[in-house]
Amino acid sequence: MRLFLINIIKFGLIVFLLAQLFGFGSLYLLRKSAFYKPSFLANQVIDKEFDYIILGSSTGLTTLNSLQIDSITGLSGINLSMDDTSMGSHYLMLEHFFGLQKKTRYCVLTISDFNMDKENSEMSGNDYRFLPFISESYVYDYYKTYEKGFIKPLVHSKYFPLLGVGYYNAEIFYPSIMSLFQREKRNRFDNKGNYKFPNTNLNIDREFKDVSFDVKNPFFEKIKSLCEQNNVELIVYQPPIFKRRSYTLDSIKNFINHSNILKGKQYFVDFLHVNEEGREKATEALANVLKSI
Amino acid sequence: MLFNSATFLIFFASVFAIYWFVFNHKKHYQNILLLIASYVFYGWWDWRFLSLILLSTVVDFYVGTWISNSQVVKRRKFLLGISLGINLGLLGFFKYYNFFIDNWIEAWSSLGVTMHASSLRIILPVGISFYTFQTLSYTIDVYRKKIEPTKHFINFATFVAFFPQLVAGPIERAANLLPQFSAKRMFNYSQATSGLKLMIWGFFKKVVIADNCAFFVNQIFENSHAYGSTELALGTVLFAFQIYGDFSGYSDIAIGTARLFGFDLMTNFKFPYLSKNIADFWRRWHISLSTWFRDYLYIPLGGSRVSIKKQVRNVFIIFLVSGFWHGANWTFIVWGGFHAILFIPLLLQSKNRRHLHENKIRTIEILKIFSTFVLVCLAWIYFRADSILSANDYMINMFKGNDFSMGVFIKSPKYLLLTLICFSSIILLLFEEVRAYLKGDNEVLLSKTGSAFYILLIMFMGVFKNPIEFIYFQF
Repeated sequence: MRLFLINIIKFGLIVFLLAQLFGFGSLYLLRKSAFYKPSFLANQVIDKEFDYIILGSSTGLTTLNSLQIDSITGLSGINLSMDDTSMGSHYLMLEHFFGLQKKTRYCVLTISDFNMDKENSEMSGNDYRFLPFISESYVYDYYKTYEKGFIKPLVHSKYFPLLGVGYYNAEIFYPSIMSLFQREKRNRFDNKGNYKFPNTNLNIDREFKDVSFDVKNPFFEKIKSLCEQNNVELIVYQPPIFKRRSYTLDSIKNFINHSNILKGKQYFVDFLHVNEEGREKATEALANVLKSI
Repeated sequence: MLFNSATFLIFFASVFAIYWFVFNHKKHYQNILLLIASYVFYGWWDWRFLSLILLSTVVDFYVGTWISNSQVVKRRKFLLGISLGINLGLLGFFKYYNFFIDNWIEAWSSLGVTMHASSLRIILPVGISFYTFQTLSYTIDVYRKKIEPTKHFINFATFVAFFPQLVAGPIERAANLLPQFSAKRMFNYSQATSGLKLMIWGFFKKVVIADNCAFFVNQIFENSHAYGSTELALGTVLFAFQIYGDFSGYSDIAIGTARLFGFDLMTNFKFPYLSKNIADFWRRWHISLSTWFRDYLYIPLGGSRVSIKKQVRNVFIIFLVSGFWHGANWTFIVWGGFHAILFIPLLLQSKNRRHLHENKIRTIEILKIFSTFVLVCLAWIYFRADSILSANDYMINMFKGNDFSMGVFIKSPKYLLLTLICFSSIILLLFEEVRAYLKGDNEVLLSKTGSAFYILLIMFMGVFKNPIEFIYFQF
C-alpha cells in the first residue's frame, strides 16, 4: 500500500504539472490572441480613447454597427457586445475596458426587458471568455462572487488553470490551439467588434404586445456607478423587437427605447434579432439620436 | 452518482481510504462499508428505489436458503418460482408495463375496438435489469445445486448492490463474486495499479470518445432526414463507437474500481469491433449478458443439442429476449432479430464457433472484420432510432446515395475540430485494441506513460461541462 501511494503521488504530481503547463500555455495563447472580445480588446484594439462603446449581448452585437454609427455621427466607437451574455458580463466587460486603461465618453448599454427584470446576480454561460485575464483582480473577484457549483473551475483557475481549461476545453483549449497558428483570428466579429446575421426574414408571426419591466438587475446599478466613477455618460438602449413594445415606469436616465421602431417581418431573422436591413435601420436611428446628444 | 462526476471522485477516495486504512484486515467491516457505500451510491440517484434492491435481496437470500434446505422437488420449484415471480415481476412492472399497455390498446384499436387504459407515469429504476439478473443467477444456481447458499446476509446484500457494477454491470455470477466477499482481502499492488489503469482507459472511452461522438450522433439521429448519405453513414459509425465507448467504458471503470477494493470482476468486452463474424462479435460484446442468456435460457431450451430447427428457434428467442432486455421498445426487438438473422447462417454452416480464442489477424481477415463491423453498424441504427419507422427512413436515406456532403462535420471550425477529436480518438482506441488483441490480452494494458497521456487527453478533450449519463443506465 505504501509503495502504491508513493507511486500514485509521484505519478499524480507529474501529470498535474504537465496539465498545469498545458493550462497556463492555453490561457497565455488565448490572452495574446484576438479570438474572444476580451483578448481582442487587449491586443487588437490599439486606440486608447473612444467616443462611445457598445455593451450588450447578441442583440447589441447584431443590431448595432459601430462602423455605420461612426460614419453618420463622426464619432469613434467600438462594439464590445458578446453573444449569449447577461448584464453581469456587460459589467465585467466594462471593468475590463477600464482595466486596460482605455477611456470613453459614452457607454451604450443594450438591454432587454427580461434581463432588466432579473433580480439575481448571475453569471452568463460565456463568461469563461475572460478566463485568460484571471490574474486581473476584477475578473477573479467577479468569478469568486458569482460562480456557482462545487468545483468552481473558473475561480480556481487562478492557481490551477488546468481546471478551467479542462472544463471549458471546447471553448478555451481548442481555440487556444487555433490561435497558436492564427493569432489574428476573431471569433465571428469584425475589427470594430460587429457581427451581422445572414440576410434572412422571419417566417413566423405573433400578436403585438406591450411589455413592462422593472429595473431590478443589480448589475445595472453597478454599471451605472462604474460609469459615474469614470466620468462616462451611460446611455441605455432598448433595441427593436418584433411586435413588442417594452417600457418601464422606473426612471432611467438617457433611455433610448427603440423596441417598436421596426415594424414588419422583413427586418428580423427572429423575434429578437434583426437582419441586415433591420440592422441598418436600427443603427441609423440610434446614430441620429447620438448625433443630437 | 455518475462515475464521471466530482462527487464520485470524493466518494470513491473516501470509501477507499476507510476501506484500506481503517478496516484493513477486518473483512466483515469492509463488507458493511461496501454495502453502505453501495446504497449511498445508488440512493444518490433516487433513494426511494433502494427499497426495490432491498426487497430483491431479502427475497433471494431467504429463498436461496429455503431451496437449499428442501429436498422436495415441487417445493424447490415453487420457491424458485417465487424468486422469479417477484424479481421479474418488479422488472416487468417498472420497465415494461407501459409498453404492454400501449401495445394492447393499439392492437385492439387496429381491430376497431377502442379501449381506455391509461399508462402510468413509471420511473425506470436505474440498473434494475442488471441487478435483477445478477440476483436471479444466485437463486437459479442454488436451485441447480451449482453453489451453496450464503449464510451471511451482509455478504449477499453487498453482492447484489456492489456499487462499482450495480447500475450497468458486468452482470456478475454468484459463483464468481459472492465467495470474494467471504475471502480475506489483502491490498495487492499489481491488482490495484491495473485497476487504476483500466479506470483511466474506461474514462477515456467514456468522456473523450463516447461523449464527443454524442454531439454529432444526437444531431444526426434526431433529424436524420436533413442529412445526406455520407453524414448518415458516418453518424452510424460514430454511434457504434459512442455506445461502445459509453458501455465498455463503464465496464472498465467498474472492473477497475472493484480491483482497487481487491475484487475481480469478469471481462465484459473483448475488442468487439475486431470480431471476424457476428458469432465472434457476441463472444466479445456484453459478455456478462450473453453468457447469462446462454446459461439460463439457451441451454435450458436445449441449446445446440436439439434439432437444427429447434436450434434456430432457440437462437431467435435468445436474440429477441436480449433485445427486449435492453428496453421496452420495438426497436430493440428488431435489433435483436437483426442479429439473429445474421447469426443463423453461421449456425447452419457450423461456423458459429470459428475464430474462438484467436489472437491473430491475417490480411484477408481485415475484410471480414470490416464487413462484420458494417453489419453491426446497420443493426445499431435500429437500436438508436426512436421508432422502427424512423430507423427505416434512416436506412433508406443512407442507401439512397444522393448526397455525399460532409456538412455537419465541417460546418464551422468548432465542428471540424470536434470531428477531428472524434475520429482521432477512435483511431487511438483501435490502435490500442489491435495491439492488445495481437498480444492475446483480454483488456488494454496501459503503460505508465500511456496512462499519463490518456489522463491529459481526458482532461483536455473530455466532455465535462454537460456530463452525459451512461446510455446503459436506462436499461
